[in-house]
Amino acid sequence: MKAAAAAGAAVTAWQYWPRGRDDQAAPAALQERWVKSVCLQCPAGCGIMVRVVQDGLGERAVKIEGNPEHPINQGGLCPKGHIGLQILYDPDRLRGPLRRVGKRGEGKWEPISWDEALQIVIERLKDLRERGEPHKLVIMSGRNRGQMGPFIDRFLAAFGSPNHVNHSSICSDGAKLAHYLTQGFKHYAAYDWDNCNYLLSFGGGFVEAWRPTVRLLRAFGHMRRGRPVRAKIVQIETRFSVTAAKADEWIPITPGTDGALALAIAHVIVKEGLYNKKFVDEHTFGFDDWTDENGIPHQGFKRLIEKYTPAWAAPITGVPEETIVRIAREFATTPPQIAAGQRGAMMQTNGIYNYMAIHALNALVGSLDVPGGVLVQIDPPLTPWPPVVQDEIAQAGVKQPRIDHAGTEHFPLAATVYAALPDFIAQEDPYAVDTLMLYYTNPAFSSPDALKYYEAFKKIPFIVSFSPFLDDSSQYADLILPDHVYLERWHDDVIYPSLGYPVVSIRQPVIRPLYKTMNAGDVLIKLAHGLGGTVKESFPWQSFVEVIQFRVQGLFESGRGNIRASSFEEFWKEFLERGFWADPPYPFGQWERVFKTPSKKFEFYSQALMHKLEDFAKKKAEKEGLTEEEALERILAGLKIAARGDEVFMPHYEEPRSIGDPKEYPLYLNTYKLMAHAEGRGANSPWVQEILGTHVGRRWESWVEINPATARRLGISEGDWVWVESPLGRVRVRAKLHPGAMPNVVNLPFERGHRSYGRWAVGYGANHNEILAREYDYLGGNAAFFSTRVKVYKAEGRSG
Amino acid sequence: MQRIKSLEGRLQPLLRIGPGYLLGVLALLAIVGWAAYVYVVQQLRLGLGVTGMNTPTYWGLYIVNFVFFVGLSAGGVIVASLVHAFNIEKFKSVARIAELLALSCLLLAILFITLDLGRPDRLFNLVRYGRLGSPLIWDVIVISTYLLVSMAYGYFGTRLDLVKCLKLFPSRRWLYRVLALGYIDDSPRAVARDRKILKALAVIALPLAVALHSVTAWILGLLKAKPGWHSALLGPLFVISATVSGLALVILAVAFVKRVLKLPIKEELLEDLGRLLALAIPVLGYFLFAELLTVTFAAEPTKIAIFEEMIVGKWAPIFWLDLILGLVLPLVILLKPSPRLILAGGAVAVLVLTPIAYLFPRAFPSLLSRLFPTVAILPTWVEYPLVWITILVIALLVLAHPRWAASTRVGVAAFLVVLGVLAERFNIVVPPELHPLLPYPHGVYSPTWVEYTIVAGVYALGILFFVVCSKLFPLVELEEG
Amino acid sequence: MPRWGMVIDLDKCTACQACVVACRAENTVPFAGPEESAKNRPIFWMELLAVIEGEYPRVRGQFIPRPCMHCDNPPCVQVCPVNATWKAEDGLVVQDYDRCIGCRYCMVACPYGARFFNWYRPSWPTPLPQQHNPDLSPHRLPTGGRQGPEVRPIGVVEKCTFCIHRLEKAKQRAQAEGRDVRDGDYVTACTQTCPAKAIFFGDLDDPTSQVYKLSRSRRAVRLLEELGTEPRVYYLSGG
Repeated sequence: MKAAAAAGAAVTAWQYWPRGRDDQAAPAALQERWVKSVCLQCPAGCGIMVRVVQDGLGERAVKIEGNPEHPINQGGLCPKGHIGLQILYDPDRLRGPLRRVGKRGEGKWEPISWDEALQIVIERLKDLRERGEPHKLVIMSGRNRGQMGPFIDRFLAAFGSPNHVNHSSICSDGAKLAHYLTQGFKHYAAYDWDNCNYLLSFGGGFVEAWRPTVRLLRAFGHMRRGRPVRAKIVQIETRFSVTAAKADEWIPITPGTDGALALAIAHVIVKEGLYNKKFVDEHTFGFDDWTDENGIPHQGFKRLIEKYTPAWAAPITGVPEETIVRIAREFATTPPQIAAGQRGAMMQTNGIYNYMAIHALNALVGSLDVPGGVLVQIDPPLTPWPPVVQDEIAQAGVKQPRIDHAGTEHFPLAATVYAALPDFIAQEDPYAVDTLMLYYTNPAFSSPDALKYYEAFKKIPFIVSFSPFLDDSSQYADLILPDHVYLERWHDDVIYPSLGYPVVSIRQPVIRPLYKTMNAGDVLIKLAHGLGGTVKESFPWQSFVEVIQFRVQGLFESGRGNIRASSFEEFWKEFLERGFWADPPYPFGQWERVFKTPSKKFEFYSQALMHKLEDFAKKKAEKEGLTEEEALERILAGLKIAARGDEVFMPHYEEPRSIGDPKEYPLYLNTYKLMAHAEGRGANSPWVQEILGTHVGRRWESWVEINPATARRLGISEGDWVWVESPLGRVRVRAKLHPGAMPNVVNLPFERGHRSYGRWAVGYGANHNEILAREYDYLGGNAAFFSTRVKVYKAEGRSG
Repeated sequence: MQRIKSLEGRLQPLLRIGPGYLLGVLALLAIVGWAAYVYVVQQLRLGLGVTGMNTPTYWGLYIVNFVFFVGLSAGGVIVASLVHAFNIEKFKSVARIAELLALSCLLLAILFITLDLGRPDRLFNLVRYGRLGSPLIWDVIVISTYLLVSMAYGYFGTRLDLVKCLKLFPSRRWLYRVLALGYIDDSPRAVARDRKILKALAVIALPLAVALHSVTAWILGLLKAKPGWHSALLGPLFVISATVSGLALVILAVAFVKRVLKLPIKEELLEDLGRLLALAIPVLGYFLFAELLTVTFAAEPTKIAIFEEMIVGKWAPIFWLDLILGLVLPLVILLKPSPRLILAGGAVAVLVLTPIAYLFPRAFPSLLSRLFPTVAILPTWVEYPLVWITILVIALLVLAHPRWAASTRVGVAAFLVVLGVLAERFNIVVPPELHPLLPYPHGVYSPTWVEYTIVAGVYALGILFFVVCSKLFPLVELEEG
Repeated sequence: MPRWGMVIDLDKCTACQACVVACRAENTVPFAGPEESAKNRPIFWMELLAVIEGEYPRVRGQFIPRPCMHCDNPPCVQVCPVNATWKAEDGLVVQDYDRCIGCRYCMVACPYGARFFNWYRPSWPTPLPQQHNPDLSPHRLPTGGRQGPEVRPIGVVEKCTFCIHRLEKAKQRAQAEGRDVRDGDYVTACTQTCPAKAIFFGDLDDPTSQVYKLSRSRRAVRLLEELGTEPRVYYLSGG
């Protein structure tokens, strides 16, 4: 017996004996090419080139590099860009259309053909139209870059639904609306970072999460050592982020009080006469007191901010008075300077006002549309869309109120109210939703109070997802029509506001699609054609690439930019070879373009806001038989705005609201995004999982950063499992004792904790969105991401 | 005739293989077999990942044991030099045991280094592509030389007895012919030549042993990347550690042979060996103290972090057990102080230690709470004197027991010393790895069951080797005339 | 013969880890997975070291990308018992995966923690192997070993090679042009991707090269310079 065992062991030993790999055959001769395209791992739209080789393993993409000529990234590429390969080759990608066979969320699917799948949708939609209820079709979209956004708009317009809900209201709409109110353009601003000498960043992850990422990283390098003068970067943030570490100065601030700090800085600048008088005189409105056409006197910004002294701001913000004064002086005297912010400052209950106050600093020092200052992005000269053809059904449908109540008196400035949608769907307010389509968005993961979406889904009879992955929301769909991943599809990209001058890039298939997936744009065309009639008429294209060609024709015809060609064919060919079209440089001094406000100036006193609210008040007064003053009063109360009178229309300080009793939930929950985080879409890449938490030494798991003194008080040590509990629920994460966490704030990063998204995403970490309460900046319908209070306590499990 | 008869009588145990012996051998075989199986299906199949080693704890139990066993092999040369260089003939009777131990320890050391390799299939590369600049190759050279010398020494020291056995036990003729390599000349001339060779080998062995232990130390000590190893003292420290542990192992083996295998060995011999050990232990203590003082006084951050971890950190129990159980307690046992002296020492210790531990709690980490985390924690100023008193009580018990012969008493002390040196080896190898020079996260190391199993298997293999040899040829040299 | 070296400007570096991922993609470095990561065994030829220290609100953060230093006086080469790692003729410290016996002596000897051991078999579920870099396929070294099989075998040590397969290609191109390889002919994957342009790579001996100038700047330091390893990676201090 022993002998047999020994022999067995010997055989096993031989079997497992490590062997060299010398016996491997030499690879087949290598063919390779580099294909230009555009990244889609974040909205930055960096130009990429993908190395595609053909060898024994077939045709395959083996490396992504930055396109050296592309104006956004100039050859650089962030970690997310490289991770594209693992998105392409994710073993858990969907192979083709799937129809649900089990119960919702049960995970039982049956593969079906594209014809069958499309037919199911077409019939459903046809039925909706026949019933005269086309508005009950809702499309939620996320990263709809380039023509995809307007294309979905167009589809819905032709179909007859007003309900395109995109995700910008859970992103950073606060800045967009603040720009709209003060400068008249509803978008993010472009910045001339390269020439900027002083950056005052309010809650903006300049080298982590702010976009366009690589553009900013490049700018950071340039501002540091790419030029003779090194710019100063001051980071005002509620946690010691990587940006704070890389900045020259970190100013911790109480969450939600960025506006107070900006106003106090403005106070110092004005009081000490450091503001740019010439610019303020020529290009701003509402700085001094003024009188309107009816002879009513109004307060100006100058008088408003008299009360916002550093002594007033210090206890609110937690920033010492002398720091405020010093920063104000530095900022005002180091031109060209930029005051800007991101989600930390603007996705608050008072976010729009906060951001107006921050942006007002740029106006005070005259840093608008000057080298080294804030620019306004120029749109590319794309061919205008042909008019949508609508039949009566469609015409009636689009006149219906939006499902998300955007643009009503409840969310007067909102274009979309993503986070509130579950309530409206659940309450069937204003009507029940019949069909929901999800394009590149995953509300059940990324919306605050994410699990609410599962409840809302129960109310929707039919859900279609275009996701190439079985993500948290698609898991609840009835039908999945998987899109190509971005390396396989035609798609254009108009850059995110950044450089000022227009850039259009082209995303082209770098390899043949691996599976039976279909470009979502092509799917929409097929649906439109299947629906027939005016819907079909509105889509005179056979495929999405034709749509792109149609729009891009305008670039060719403009005769501007880096590509000059004698024919469109030639233009298109070069467009594909270069990967982008750009029209530098940025033209300074086009004031009509820069200020689209009623006064054609920067408005410290926003007439747009005044008109908007007065309109609503007028309508409400008529409808409910009130005086206009009463109506306005009620609207403001509904918007939870404390200010009254002229203050409402100017950057002013509103106290932030939070959810959770401070006694029971003593800590603020701050959620944030990291560099390698592809906005919740990277967790299915093992490379991301392995580098996300490098700065805290955590891989493949979520952590919460706690100030060591706070942790000691709570009896929590490094590496302990802890519960982070809000009034909504709790998540279990590792404790990271972090000296850069404020004593009353805990920080939990976004990315992990998927319930469904493939083998590398499920089971690792926790999703803070499940405990984030939904609170809004009602003015703009923006989700307030930093308004949830929590308590933290030890959980079971071995620390490590 | 009379002489032959008694000789035959004394050799009888060679042939007697009782059930106890068989059972023991089988048990050992089972452990070895199980460990071999675990090695194959775990480590060989899945890679070194099944061990607790990681970044930056690149080396773990295997290397600890490699270093440990190289040190244990020192016993052979110590006894040989006592006999041949210092002409202390009475130790001659245990010389063979010592040599056998040295040989098996070296073989086990080589086995441990093979177990540690990521590619054991390429072991031969050490010979094929050996690079003379590498301290590891120096060790390969010194170990193989030392191995050859030991084998030669063992051979020439045993040959004559083998010839005697060959004559006495015709049934095993073939065995002894093989073991004697066919050289069965027992003429006085041949015997004299053997003695000459033995003497020469003993003289060669002494510097060779110093080289062996130093080179093993230098594998670690020459590396500037590990401040915890990078010390000129490491070579001498290894030589003295080897002396202490080698001697202790010889004592342990002799006590085992005497009490378990019942071979005739005089009690005084053990006492004498014990005295030698008692002489060597303070030297080791002195070296450790010198190293500790240098580090703590200079307080270089790179070194102090390691030593803090060792003395008051995660590995503190090992350090203190090494110091207390491995050095102090055996020394007390070996020195046989009078009970009064022990009581006095205990009283002084309590009086001195308690207030110091009370006043400087940081320097006195809790030992028991680390060893038994579930047990309620005593204040350390109670704990330390308690530990001290316990030691003295144990010592007192061991010494006071009238029936306990020298072989037991010295054997217990030797066993503690061997364990202590193992702990010391662990402390030398592992903690310095945990604190990289660059700001990486601090390392952790907890050996896995696979490592423990394999280590146990190798230990069992060593014991098996010794036990089997005890039936092949006489472990104690046959007296002449 | 160029003396290839690297300069990393810590003031420009944004700690984004693009270099880390670009390196993994270029060199087909396996990911460790959750269990092995928890045991601290992931392989990072290029790794970001992070130090956050201080007490609120006086906190300091430092981030250092760490490739192999390709020391001119490499402690790893000094100790390798089988000549499996050595300084190649152009000064790169290379590793022969076919000769390495996995004793990990070089890892212990490297003060920079730049060497990594294949503790486990890498996991490349289909179709992930599609992304493997074909340039790393068997490539013979003078000793008969390979500089980079596609996936390095279990039980051996691996490390950053300064993208030696790119150097090989650059050499071939230079040869085709009838000249020697020189500064600018190739850069490593990390250099190429760096969004903030904080990594420079080239010939440290060429007075016209950027790395020559930067490595001699007042801000230039090398890690653990006092050990006398003569690393070829220079850092320009931050702030």
